[in-house]
Amino acid sequence: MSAPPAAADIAGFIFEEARLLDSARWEDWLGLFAPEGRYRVPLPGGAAPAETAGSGAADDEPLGQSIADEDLLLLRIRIARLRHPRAYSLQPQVSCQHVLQQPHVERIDRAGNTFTAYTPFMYAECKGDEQAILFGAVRHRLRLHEGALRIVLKRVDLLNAAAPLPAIYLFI
Amino acid sequence: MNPDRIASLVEPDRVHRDAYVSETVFRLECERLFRRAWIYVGHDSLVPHAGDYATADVAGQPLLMVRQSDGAVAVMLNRCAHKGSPVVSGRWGHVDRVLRCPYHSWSYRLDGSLLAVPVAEGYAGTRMRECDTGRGLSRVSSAQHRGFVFARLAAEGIGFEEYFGEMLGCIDAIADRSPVGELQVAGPPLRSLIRCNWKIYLENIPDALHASVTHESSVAAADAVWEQEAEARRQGREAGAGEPAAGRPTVIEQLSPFGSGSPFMEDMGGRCVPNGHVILGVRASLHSGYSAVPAYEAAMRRAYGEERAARILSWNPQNALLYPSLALKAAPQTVRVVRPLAVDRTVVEIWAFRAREAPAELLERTRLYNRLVFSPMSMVAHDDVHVFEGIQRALAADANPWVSLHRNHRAQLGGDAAEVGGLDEALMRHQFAAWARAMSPGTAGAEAAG
Repeated sequence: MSAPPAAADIAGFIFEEARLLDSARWEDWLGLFAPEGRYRVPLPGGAAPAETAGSGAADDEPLGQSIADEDLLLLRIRIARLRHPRAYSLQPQVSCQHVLQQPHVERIDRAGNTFTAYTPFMYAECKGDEQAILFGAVRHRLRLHEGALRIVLKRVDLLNAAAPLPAIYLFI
Repeated sequence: MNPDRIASLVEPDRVHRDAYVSETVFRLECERLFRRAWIYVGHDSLVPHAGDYATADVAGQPLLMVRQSDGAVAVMLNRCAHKGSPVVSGRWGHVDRVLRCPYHSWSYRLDGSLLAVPVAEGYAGTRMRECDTGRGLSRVSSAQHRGFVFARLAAEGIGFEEYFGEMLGCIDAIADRSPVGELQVAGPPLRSLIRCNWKIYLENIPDALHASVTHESSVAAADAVWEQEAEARRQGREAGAGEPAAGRPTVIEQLSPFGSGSPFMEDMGGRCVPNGHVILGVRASLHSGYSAVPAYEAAMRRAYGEERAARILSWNPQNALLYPSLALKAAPQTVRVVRPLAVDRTVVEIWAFRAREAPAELLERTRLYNRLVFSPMSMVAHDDVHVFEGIQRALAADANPWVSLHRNHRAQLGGDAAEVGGLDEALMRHQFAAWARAMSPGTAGAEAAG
């Protein structure tokens, strides 16, 4: 990126990220993460490590679980499995569609190399004749890494995260 | 499906599909099996203080577990004796000394007994106090072992200790994983909604054979990525890129054993315990090869002594099923609860327990395992759910109405032994033998109570 990122660059990055997922370009999507990047889908009432800096989220809850909490190694494994011919749950093929609201860029801290945004979404996943629809909001924490915006944390807060959930096969 | 045919659905070596797909059978399960059995309600660490409560829906029955002022835990129905409104909402919470109905303000003591009714003079001369209404929230027989609270909905029936027998030792085994012998729920459970009959899920709990088949893609992906990663780390080290090489990551330790071959699975061994309970992995399990946590083991030796600590740490089954609602592991400290919603819908709760006074790494491992293997976003669970939901649909096929449980069945030897191989379908036959008994027409006042 030639100039420091503006809000429009951050929003564009987030739209592009969703498009890669909706196109099943998972390896390209993984390339958007910083080396220390994380993908997390919390369970309400679960642990809230210091991941939403400045958001006031509790940092000190020692208990709790997450629906997903993956570093790059785990994301690579998950993507390798999605490509495996005997990933039975992907037969028939599963596809997804993100519908994003305009990202609200919350923080542009060039000195601290931290950029955050809040993006309400609707997410639909279709397997064969069946479709599941989820609502929620994504919190992105980004930084510049080797000149490009990269994901430090993608945190997906589902509206009904505490409810019994059907299998969610792809990445929200 | 004629209710009189229930007994004909289970043969010694096979089960009729109506056991999984018939609405009538499910209704009878709710009336018979789930009333007669001791069902797990919750762990008492959910309700640490007097007035704390937790709710659970057990086969259509709204149960309410309440911590009493004297420290005991009582189980009752969350149903106002007046009009039937739930007196508390949500999955857990706290009340100050009184449970008060939001509809007409009938109020109850923490033990469910009726404390006060509005317009009390209106009941003078009525028989309200003499009938069920006057007794307040219906109490349910309950018992607990090491903080695990169970209830039996039928007013009369088999006692708690007789029902579980040696399975209570499996609860001890997970509780003793704490140096102080105490567990604590680590936050709310993951909850998975699966569109299959609850028994399909229960049969899978001691099913060793499916692991390397159904989960092949997860194992292959984990092994392949780790091979690349280990090679990259090796090269990085040789190139002098100072980063220290860590050992095999926990995620690989947890996923890779799913690919273990049949000889290992058979050698794990299984055990059938009266009343449908089973244990897979009495000698070893896919959890056996996890790396040690030295600080934890030292704490265990200090707490229990060398010999007993070694015994506790070496007993690490794949799953212990306390039929029909609870599946335990020892390490990780994972507790699964199976809640049937309908003949073709089941909710599975996946709890992580914290072993008190144990290093945080134990809970980290449990949480990781639950995400990897049981979460609605778990790639391992995805392939299970795919199979279970497919079975539920395909059982509608008419050509062959039977599900096979023939493997290692030796009718001529007088039925199944208690100790079996890890691949022996005795671990499923045993569940269905108990099912057939619990589904027989009422004796012991089980249905009369309903």
